[in-house]
Amino acid sequence: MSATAELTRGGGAATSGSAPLRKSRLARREAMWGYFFISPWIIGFLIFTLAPTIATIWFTFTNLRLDISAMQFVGLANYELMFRDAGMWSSLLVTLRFGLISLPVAIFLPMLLAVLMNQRALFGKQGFRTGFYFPYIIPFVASIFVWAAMLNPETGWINMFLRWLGMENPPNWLLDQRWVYPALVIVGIWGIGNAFLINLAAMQGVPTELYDAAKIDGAGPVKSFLNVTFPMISPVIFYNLILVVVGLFQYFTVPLVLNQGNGQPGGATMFYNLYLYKNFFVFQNMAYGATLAWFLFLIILATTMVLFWSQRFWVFYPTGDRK
Amino acid sequence: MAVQTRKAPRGFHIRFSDIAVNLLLILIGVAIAMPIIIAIFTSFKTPSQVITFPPSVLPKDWTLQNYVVAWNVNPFGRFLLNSTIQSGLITLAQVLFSVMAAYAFAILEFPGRNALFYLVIGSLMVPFELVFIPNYQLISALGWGDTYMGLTMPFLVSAFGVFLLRQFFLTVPKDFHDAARIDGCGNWRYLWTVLVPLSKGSIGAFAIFAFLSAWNQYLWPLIITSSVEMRTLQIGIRYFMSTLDRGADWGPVMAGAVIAILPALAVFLIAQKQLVRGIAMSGLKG
Repeated sequence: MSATAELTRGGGAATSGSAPLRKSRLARREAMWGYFFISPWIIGFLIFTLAPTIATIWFTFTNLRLDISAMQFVGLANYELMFRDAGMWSSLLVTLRFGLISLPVAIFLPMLLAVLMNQRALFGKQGFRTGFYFPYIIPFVASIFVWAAMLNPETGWINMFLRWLGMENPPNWLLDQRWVYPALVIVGIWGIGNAFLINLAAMQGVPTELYDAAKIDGAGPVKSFLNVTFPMISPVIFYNLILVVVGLFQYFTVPLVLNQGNGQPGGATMFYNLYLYKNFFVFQNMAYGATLAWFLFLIILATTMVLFWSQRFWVFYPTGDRK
Repeated sequence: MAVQTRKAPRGFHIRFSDIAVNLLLILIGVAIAMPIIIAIFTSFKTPSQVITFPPSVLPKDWTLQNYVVAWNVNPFGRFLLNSTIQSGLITLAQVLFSVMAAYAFAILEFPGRNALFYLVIGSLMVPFELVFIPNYQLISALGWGDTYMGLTMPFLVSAFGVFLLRQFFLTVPKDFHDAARIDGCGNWRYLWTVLVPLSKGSIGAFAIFAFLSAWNQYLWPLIITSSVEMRTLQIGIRYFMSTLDRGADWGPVMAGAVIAILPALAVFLIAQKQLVRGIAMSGLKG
C-alpha cells in the first residue's frame, strides 16, 4: 500500500530524452550507478528465485523423481493425481482446522498484550517489552524441546500444575487428537513477540486527543478501544493478519521436529506442507511435490487477495497520513 | 479529568486498575518465561532430581554433567562454528547487497526502476517450497552440497532487506545527496560516508534480523548437509535430541536447548534496543 504510493515518488525524470547533452550524460551515469548497485540483488534473484520458480512450473508437467535426466513430459497427470489424492485433501483440511484454532490466538493475544502494555501507570515498561519479545528469538528447535518437556503427560510441569489444581486426568497433550492443536497453539505462543511489538508501536502512535475526545463523549475503555484504537491500528492488524495467514498455510516445521513428521496422533498433525515435504523427501516424487507446492502457492495467493479485498470493510487508512 | 491525571506526577495517582494491569502483565510474563527458566534450571539437575516429585524449580545439587554429556555426544563446538559461519556470511552479504540496492531504489533514477522495485516486492511472496527443489538440484550439480557455499549461496540477497532499507533511506532528506554531489562526492562515497552512518540504527536492526533468521534456518540446512561435520546447530541439536530417551534424559536435552539459545540470546541482549525499534518501524511502514 505505502509501497505503491512511494513508488511514484520522483520516478520518470530519468526518461526525459530531450534533455541537454550534459544532463543526459549525467543521467546516463546515474543510471549506470543504479544498475551497478542493484546488480547483486538482481543476479541473486534470477538464479535463486526466478529460475527455480519457472523450473518448478515445468516440473509439474513431468514425472521427475531424483534423476533429472530420466525426466519425461506427462501433461496434466500430476494435477489429475492431486485432485483425486485423499491424502492431499485431508492434509489441507488439517491445515485449515488448525488455522481456525490458531488464528484468533495469533491475532488477539498480541493485541491484548499491547493494550495492557499501553496503559499509563506501568512500572518497568522496557522490561516487559523485552520480556514479551524475547521468546521470539529462541531457535525453534530448542523451543520445541523445551515445550515437549513442559507438555510431557507424566513429568511435564503443565500437567503437574493441573494435577495440583485437582484435575485427575490431565490431557496427554501431544498424543491426544483433541488436545494436540491446543498444545501446538501453546507452543506457538512464543512466536507472538513480533506481532506484539508491531501492535504496541501502532497503539503508541494513536493521537491522545482522540482518546480524550472519546472520554468527553462518555466512552468507557471498551468503547474507546472499539471506536478509537481498533480503527486506528487496523492497518497494522491487517499486516499481522496477512503474515499469520501465510505462515499458517506453510506451517509444518513444529510437527516435523516434534514427532518426526509422522502425523501422529491419528493424522491430526499431517499438515499440508508436511505432506508436501514427505512427497519430496520420503517418496522422492519431485514432480508431484512441485505440483503440491504450486497448488499451495495459488491457495495462499487467492486467500491473500480476498483479505486485501476485505480491507474496505474493516481497515481504516487515515487520509494522506501513512502512520 | 483524564487530562489532569495524565499530567499528574508519576506515583501519586495509583489506582486499583493500574495495579491489576501490572499484576496481570507480570502473571502473563511469568507464564511465558517459565519454560525457559525451568529449562535452564533442569539443565543443571542430576538425573534423579529431574524426575523427583514434587518437582522443584531449583536444582538441589548443581551439576554440569548434562553439559558434558551434550557436548561430548555431539560436536557442539563444530555446530556452533558452522552456524556462526553460515549466519555470519549470510548477514554480511545481505546487509551489503541490500544497502546497495536500497540506495539505488531510494535515491538514484534510472529507467525501469519502478518495475524492478515491483519485482523486489513480488519476490517477497514467493514461498520457499516453490524454489527449494531446483535450488537443491543446482547446488548439488555445482558440487556444493554439504559445504558452506551450499549453505549460504541461495540466501545472499534479501528482498525484505532491500524493501526495509529503502523505506529508511527515503526518510533521509534528498538535499544531503544534492549537497554532497555539488561538493564532488560520488555515489559510492556518499553512500558509505554519509547515508550508512546516518542509517546505522535501521541497518543494525536489519542485520540482527538477518542473523537471527539465518541462525534459525531449518529446512535448507537439513536437506543440503549430509555429514555430521557440516550440520548447523539447529540440525545438530535435533539429531542429538532424537538419540536420547526423552523423558529420562531431560537434563542433557535441556542442556542442548540452552546451548542453542545462548548465542541468539547474546546477539539479542547486545542489540535489543535497535532490534525492537526496527521491528516497530518495519511493521508500520510495511
